[in-house]
Amino acid sequence: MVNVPEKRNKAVAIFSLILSILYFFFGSLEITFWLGFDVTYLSPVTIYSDAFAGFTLIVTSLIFAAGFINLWRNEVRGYSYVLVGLFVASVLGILQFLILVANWTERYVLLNEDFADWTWIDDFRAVIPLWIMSLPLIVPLRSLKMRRV
Amino acid sequence: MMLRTVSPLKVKVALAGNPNVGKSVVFNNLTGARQHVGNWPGVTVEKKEGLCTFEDAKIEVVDLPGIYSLTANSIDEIIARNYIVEEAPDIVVDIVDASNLERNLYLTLQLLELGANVIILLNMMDLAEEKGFKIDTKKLEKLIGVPVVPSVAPKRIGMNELCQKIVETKKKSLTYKKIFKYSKDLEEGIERVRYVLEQYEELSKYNLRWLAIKLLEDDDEVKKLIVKSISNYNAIFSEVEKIKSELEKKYDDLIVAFADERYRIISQIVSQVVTKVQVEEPTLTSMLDEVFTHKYLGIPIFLTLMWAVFQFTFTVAAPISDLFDMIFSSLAEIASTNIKPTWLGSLIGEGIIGGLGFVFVFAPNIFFMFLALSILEDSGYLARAAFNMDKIMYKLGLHGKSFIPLLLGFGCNVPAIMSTRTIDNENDRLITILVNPLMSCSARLPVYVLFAGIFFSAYAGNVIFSMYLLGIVLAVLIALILRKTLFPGRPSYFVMEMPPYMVPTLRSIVVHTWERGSMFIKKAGTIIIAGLVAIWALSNIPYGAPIEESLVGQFGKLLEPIFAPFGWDWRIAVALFFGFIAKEIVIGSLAILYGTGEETLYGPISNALTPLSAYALMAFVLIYVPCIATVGIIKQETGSWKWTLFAIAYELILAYLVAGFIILIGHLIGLA
Repeated sequence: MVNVPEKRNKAVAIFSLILSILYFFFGSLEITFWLGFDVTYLSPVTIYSDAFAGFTLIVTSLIFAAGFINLWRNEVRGYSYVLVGLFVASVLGILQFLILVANWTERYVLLNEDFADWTWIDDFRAVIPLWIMSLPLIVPLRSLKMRRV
Repeated sequence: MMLRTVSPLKVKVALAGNPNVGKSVVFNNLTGARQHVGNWPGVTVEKKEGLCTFEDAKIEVVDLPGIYSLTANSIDEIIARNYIVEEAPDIVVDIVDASNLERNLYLTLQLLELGANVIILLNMMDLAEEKGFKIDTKKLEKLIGVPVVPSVAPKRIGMNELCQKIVETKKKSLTYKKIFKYSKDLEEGIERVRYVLEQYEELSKYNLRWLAIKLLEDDDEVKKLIVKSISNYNAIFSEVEKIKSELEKKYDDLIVAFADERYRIISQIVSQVVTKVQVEEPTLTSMLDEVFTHKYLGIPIFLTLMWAVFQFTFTVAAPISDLFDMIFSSLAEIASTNIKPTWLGSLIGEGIIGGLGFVFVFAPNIFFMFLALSILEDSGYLARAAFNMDKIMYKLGLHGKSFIPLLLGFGCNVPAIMSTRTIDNENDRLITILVNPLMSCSARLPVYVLFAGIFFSAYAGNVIFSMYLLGIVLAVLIALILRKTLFPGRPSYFVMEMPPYMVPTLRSIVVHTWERGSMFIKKAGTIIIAGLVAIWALSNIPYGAPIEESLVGQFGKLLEPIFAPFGWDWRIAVALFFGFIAKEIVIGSLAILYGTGEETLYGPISNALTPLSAYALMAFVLIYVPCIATVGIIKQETGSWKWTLFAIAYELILAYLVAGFIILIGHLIGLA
């Protein structure tokens, strides 16, 4: 692997740690809510009682955590975790955005009665802002000049 | 590609190559939409043919199965070489992965040995470059004696040059047939066998040098060919045995000796044409593999991506499904009210359009699922998923190679069961076939979508995902039981190649999605519509009588006591019975039995079932007898009625037990 300045590794490591904590926080909220404890007041965005979604947030958190640990030790392979973390965060964020668009279509285009009370806030779940927050990671990843194979 | 209508020159071209060299992309680039998919004669391995018009020539392209060599070890290899020997295509385009030249040239050498007129398409030149390989294609052309066309198939680079070379070869009747010489002893042996074969006129149409090598390699298929062609075949075999035993004094194993010699030749060629440039940058593939195949994170990431696939399948596709529903409901209503006589209006409106509509509204879900799976497959991720699962599969008594057939089962169990042919060990293969129907195929998806939508609307995606997980868990448990009881022993070890990660091309994703999704449309237009019309007819005999008194009603009443403990009425019993033809019929028949239209189906179903009994019903549909096509393929692949009936019986019993267990647990924890 190429040599990356230690300062940059530390900066990316801290950013990964912040993302890891946030993903863990929101993942835990969804799982806690699913277990029957109403913790929605703790969140600024919509929280569902959804164990599977909570699990996916925890997985993303763990990937970023692994990125943090490696980069903090100045091990460049930490970027692998940052890359996959960004990828999984993007999959989840884009998926939720598509769900928002689909439900918007149901409400305003198809005039589906089941969606009469729907507002975009209902589908603005944590994965969307967290995905947008993770996008700056593209900058250090691009500077790695990766080859495909 | 230049397209013209008149084309007097006809060229027959076969595409050969190792798996994962971009053969399908090349085939799609050449043929576009003009493709035909069928089966190779006598077997159920898919055969793709297509047509490409270039300048004044019509090029017929046949896509041979992906193979590593031309031995007779697998059905794919036999198909490929039989095609080249028997059909004698004008040209064999050997697609070679430039980033993995040494391994790929093994097949090239065997193709040349077979006497094929070969053109090499040196694909993935961009990857080779990124790996730091510099390939002197001119020198390669000179050393190997056949034209070499560099290419990057996903970007369509090299396609025109390939067509140009094909047409030029045909027009000028050029032949590229280079003979590579083995060691002196082997060459002497080949010549002696060849001399023996030359005595027989019947063999003159074959490449005798190739036949000689294959006989020395003890190739069963070539021996069969000799037996078929020559009455006095024993004379040949005894001569060959004599020559072989002489050679075996020097070489312990002649198959290994020939393979070593081929690799010696390849290594000489590669050392002269490839130079490696040192590069320091990390590779995308190694970086992604570090995490995707991670000991602890690999499987959770796989589950996360699969969860995303099912959310995408259910929620994002929902508006399109709803739009289809509106269209079909309106059409059914128009037909029912306007077509006379009344019974005909009812047949067309409620029976055909209504029933079919209830199947077609799920087409977007099915297409979305295949779209997501195609992206994962074409990107190279699914191979990593198989790698991650191998260790678990092995511990659970399944072979690592079983993962791909099981995963394919999410699409359709028929091709999935066919794909178990790649598993060499018979016990491993039988276990994989028997548990494959437990993998939830796309035909079951409409049932889940309907019931999850009615009873678990906010968490429908999760409920559907849980069905897929239940299928996987049951498949693993049954495999474990089968391994411990009927098929004792350990599964054999698994070796697989990891293709580099790629950004899938839009074209290949669309083609893959359409190929798989269109099967659903075809089925809906044939077997499903026939089944639904039959149910409509049975539900209208005697005409005008209440449905409970119709033939289907009486039959349902007979079945009803079996499912009464689960709270399912006679209509559900009938739907499950007809679901044996194809699982999609379950929904269509419910639509007929309850009456068409969303209001008339959603209402009665939500009255007839509780969320608990609906969940149990979804589990039953997941597990109970596979459709008639799957039963047929189990019979074909196991060659045994015993195993076919076993599969049907154990799945019926298991479905009943699991549904009962769900109801019981639900009652115990107060969910009823």
